[in-house]
Amino acid sequence: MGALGHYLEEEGLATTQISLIREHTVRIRPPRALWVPFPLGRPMGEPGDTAGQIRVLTAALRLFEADQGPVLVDWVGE
Amino acid sequence: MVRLADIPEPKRSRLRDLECPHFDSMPWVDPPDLDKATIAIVSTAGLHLSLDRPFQFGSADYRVIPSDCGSGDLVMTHVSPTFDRAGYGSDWNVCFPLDRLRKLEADRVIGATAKSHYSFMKATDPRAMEPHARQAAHAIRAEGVDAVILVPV
Repeated sequence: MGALGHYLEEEGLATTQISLIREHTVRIRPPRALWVPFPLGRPMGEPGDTAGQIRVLTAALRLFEADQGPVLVDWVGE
Repeated sequence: MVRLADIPEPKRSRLRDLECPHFDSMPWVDPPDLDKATIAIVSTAGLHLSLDRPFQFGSADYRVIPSDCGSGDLVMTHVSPTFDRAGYGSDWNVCFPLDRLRKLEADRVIGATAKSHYSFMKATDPRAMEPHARQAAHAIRAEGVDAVILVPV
């Protein structure tokens, strides 16, 4: 996932991402990433948890407000 | 909490030792303010329209997902068996948060939801995806998209 961030950003698109394996994100250093402690297969959190998924999505999008990267933020939940 | 250390073997060792591409540079694009930005989703969950081509082992290309599709229009043909599929089965937003992006558009948190979204399949070496990713970037930009949320699986 982080490699796609590099490729798309190099082509002029701002990117932010969800990170499921923090160790990989640290190594690949994509421009912006929000690490979440959710199981593989559930990057946005629990099924049916509309409010929680919106909080995760919003937190990832708010990384666009950073001035420089790489940005790696840990999701802290509520 | 799920961290790499919590994942059972042998999957933990496979993930820990997975070779990751190295990048010397740090590309950086400043998007417009969020409430003016058009946002697309790029997934690596191997998602596509049910009538589109399934992903195969080693597929490095991508599929286009129109923004007006519904959860019943998509299928997941990711080859890896090592992640939970039940969550997606009951709520596609778990992997593909299109309803949530639409809600942020309705609430004017973002400017707009893109007309198209994209999916790759994560099981493929990302270096093989590079030419396809660059091609996708041109298609995404051609639709007036400012920024992308990348969602793994």
